[in-house]
Amino acid sequence: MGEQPSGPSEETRVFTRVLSRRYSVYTVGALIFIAALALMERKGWPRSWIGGTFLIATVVVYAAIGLLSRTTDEAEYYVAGRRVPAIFNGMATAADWMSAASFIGTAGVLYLQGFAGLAYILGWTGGYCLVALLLAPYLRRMGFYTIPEFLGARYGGTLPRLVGVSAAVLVSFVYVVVQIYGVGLITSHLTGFSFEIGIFVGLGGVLVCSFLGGMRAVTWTQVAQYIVLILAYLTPVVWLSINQTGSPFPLFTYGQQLEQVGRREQELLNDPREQAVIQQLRVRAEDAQRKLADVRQAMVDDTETMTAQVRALRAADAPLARVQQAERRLATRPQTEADASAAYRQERNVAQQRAQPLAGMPPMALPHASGDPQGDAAARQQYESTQRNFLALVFCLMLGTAAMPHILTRYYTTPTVLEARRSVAWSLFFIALLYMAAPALAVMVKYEVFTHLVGTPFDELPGWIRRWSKLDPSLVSVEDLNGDGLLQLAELHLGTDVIVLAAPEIGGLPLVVTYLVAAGGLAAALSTADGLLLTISNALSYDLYYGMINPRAPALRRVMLSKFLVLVVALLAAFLASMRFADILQFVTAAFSLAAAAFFPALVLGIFWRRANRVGATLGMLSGLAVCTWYMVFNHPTLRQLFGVTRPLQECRWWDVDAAAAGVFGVPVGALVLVVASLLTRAPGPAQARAVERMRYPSTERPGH
Amino acid sequence: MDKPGAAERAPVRHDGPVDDPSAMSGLRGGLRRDFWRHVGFWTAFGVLGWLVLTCGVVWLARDLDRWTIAQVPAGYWWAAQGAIGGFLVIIVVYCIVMERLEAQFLNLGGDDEPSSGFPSGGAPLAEPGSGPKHG
Repeated sequence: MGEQPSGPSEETRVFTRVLSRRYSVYTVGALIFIAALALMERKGWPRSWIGGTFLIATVVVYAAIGLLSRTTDEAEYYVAGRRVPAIFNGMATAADWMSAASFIGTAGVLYLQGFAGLAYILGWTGGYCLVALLLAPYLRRMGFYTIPEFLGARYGGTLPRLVGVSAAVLVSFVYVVVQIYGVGLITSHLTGFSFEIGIFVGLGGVLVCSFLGGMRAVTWTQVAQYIVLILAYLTPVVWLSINQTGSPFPLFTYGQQLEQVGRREQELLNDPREQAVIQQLRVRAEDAQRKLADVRQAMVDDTETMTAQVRALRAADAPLARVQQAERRLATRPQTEADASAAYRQERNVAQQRAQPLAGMPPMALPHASGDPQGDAAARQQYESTQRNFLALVFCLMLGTAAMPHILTRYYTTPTVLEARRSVAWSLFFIALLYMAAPALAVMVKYEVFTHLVGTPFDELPGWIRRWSKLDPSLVSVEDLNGDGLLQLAELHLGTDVIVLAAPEIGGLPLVVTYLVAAGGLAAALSTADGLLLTISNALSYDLYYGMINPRAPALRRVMLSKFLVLVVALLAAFLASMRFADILQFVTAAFSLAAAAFFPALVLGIFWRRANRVGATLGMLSGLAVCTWYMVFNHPTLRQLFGVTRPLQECRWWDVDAAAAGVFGVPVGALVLVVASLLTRAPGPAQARAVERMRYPSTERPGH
Repeated sequence: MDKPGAAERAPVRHDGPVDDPSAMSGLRGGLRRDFWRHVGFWTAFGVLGWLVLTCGVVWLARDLDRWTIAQVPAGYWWAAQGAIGGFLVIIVVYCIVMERLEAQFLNLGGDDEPSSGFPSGGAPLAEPGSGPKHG
């Protein structure tokens, strides 16, 4: 390219070489560490030691990188000195991006929901097109520290920036709670600590990084975490593929497994034993329904039945474990009428769900399986509604991707605009490595479960089932419903979050792979939590405190305040996470909807439409958020209960779109309000016009800015 | 493949007398407008590709299932793997096109504004020259 200003500068090239060497050494070290642990496993180390070693070693390494990168310099703290080369920023973004939900949830959703789960794969990758085309280069050209700061400069005044701060904090906080939940889940799986202790142990790892070194420390740990998480994800996938098909390239061979899963699905659908279990589950659902009609009487009856059971087991000299189990059931039965009614309702819903064919899982490869475009009117309508919801979710996740403050901030850290754009391509490449493998993993796990696990006698069930069901029965549970002593598919319940974490054990791989996967999940959760905490604390300290409250605060105090806020926010999030909200993916989707509705129109129109002004942006962001929140509150079952919404669900639903995908309404409404309000008010002033000029046109870039 | 039009239609064809300041300022207005129009065109093109790919994968999934790719029903394969590759191609092509466009813009001196070195952080915007306000 000669003397043209494109292409990385000499400084960047040298730095890239240094980094490549360091991270190669690190990767080799990680591989040696894994091999050593595999050897120790052979030598007979107990599992808790291996798990503990994985946990401690990885957290210590991240903490060490964090310590080495500690800084109080402002540019280093907020944007890692703006010298992260494209490829490494790509890795850091990938780690920042791939959360606990991506790592442990995606393959699980694909396993449970088949084609419907691909909405996450599409949504979480396609969004990068929007980042590359519409946002990253322009944000980088402005060269700020935070996203609210960009809004402030483009629109002027404090209000857009203030709304930006609130939205960034809201979105990131919802998301960080989910990450910390993931940290707790994985730590307790790794070590056998309780969930609550797990949260606080993992939190230590997060804090050391973002607390000491801000973006600089977070960037370099995220690269390290990416390497761990991708090794951890691909190892079981490749290994399972070799075991099942003999090929180390699952992407090209998982088709065979998919075909066999399809065949097995047909067999299981016609299996009389499956149908017997389904019949049992229907009876149970009806039972629960009957109990709901008269809860008080049902509670009395239940107590009697359970007491009788305990007595009968004692009289029959049953094994101690079974007696204790019955006693525990009696002791932990719901005590109040409200609790009992909730428990019965839960029981009914679970039984109904599991009484569906194939334990409620749609056929793996069939798109939009719950309807049929060739069927009767109801089936056609169902098909269309499923398709619409799929598309809505995909768009919501894509627009949310292009509006997540913690992701967009990462593109401030590259040396030049050009590197920012390239690093989006690298980000998607590194993300694709995992997301392309996820469907293959889901299919291979399903193959393993359908062909090997189903039909196993109950007393020969593999150890992971017992261990996981003890850790959390909502993740794994088995029950011999038809009493034939064999496991039927409908008798096995696997939760979303367990598929990836248990995949090595399901496939019969060595223990060390199990813990490697757990360490990868931990890396994914920690890296995302790091990025999010930093975004929240920077928005509060840099934008709110320095930008609005005390513009004369010295740089050192700003950084110190930011560090202090990281601590406070992390503790608050840990406290909320310890309350254990169920179903990790739902909240993530909600965060994406909110981010999309709040930021996407204001950012994109701010760049591509000169006329967008302060009033428009403020109203646009607020109305987008309002519509999004309203739709969620009125349509999400839990939120409806929480806010006491009485309006019937049918009246609140628009085009039958699910609550989580509320962003698809928030974004267009926000954009429309922004346009109309901008046109009705005065055009932006000269300072804002200059800001638009500046972000649109390239200039001879000086690295370091 | 060489993207047709990127290099050819970019403002490189305006080879005006670069060292004549009065001619330059006239050209620069055109150059800047031209540059932004090209950026707009390629961006819209990319966004369109993104939109078609996304909607196509979702809407046509069942119809695509008539074929298989690597033994996977094509509808599933496109949603699981193909689309990601497509997105990556869009980004990479866009990077290449934009890098050329920007290099040409700078070579023609489109950036001779005093505000080219940006203050980072919350400093007020630098005073730019009398650059044209309309794109």
